[in-house]
Amino acid sequence: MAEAQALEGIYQTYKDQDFITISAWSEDDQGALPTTEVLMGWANQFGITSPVVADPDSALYWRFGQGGLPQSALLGPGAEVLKIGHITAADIESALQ
Amino acid sequence: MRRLALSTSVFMLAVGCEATMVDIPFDEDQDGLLSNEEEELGTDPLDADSDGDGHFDGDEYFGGTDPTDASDHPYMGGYDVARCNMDPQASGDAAGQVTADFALPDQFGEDVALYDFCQKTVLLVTGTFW
Repeated sequence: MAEAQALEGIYQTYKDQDFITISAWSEDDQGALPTTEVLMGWANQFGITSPVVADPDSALYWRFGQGGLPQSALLGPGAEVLKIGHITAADIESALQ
Repeated sequence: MRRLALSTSVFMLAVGCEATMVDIPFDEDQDGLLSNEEEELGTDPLDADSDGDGHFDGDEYFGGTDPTDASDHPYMGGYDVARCNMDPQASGDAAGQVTADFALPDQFGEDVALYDFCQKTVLLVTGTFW
């Protein structure tokens, strides 16, 4: 819960600096691929206003292959991978400069 | 972003003792674009939604989508589209490489594409529900 609220806080802090967050979930709490309704429910529960997407077969999760839950990747303009793993505010601010 | 529409395109301007007819472009269909802008963009100045996708032409133009393409429209979630002039060339998924595009359904049921935010910094969080 705290992580979800933190995610929205990060988005609100930096969204006016050409920044966006995307959350991609491969399973709901029943182990199934989240439906549109489930994604919307989760977004509403935590006040998430950025994209929340379903990730079939965890394809996006495995793309960056670090194995943590949740897993984060910071991408720069042009979809360049800047960092995979624990992303800090300093990482984001450095990327935005 | 809407602009104040003018009720007529023709104004009478008094210049000294003479009256001059001036044709001023206006937003006849109330879609946020002036008639001369619509002519340049190829949209219909009498149809607020030229491509019939449910989004006003002006919203599409200022939102970075194509008002003449029904498959290209602003996200329902309101995320600002910021595409690059050309799609990036994907090279891999490690740091320093360019990751490939994806399009996945969001909480509004719309496909969200990574490259729609090509000019932005993106924090991507993946996993199962917390």
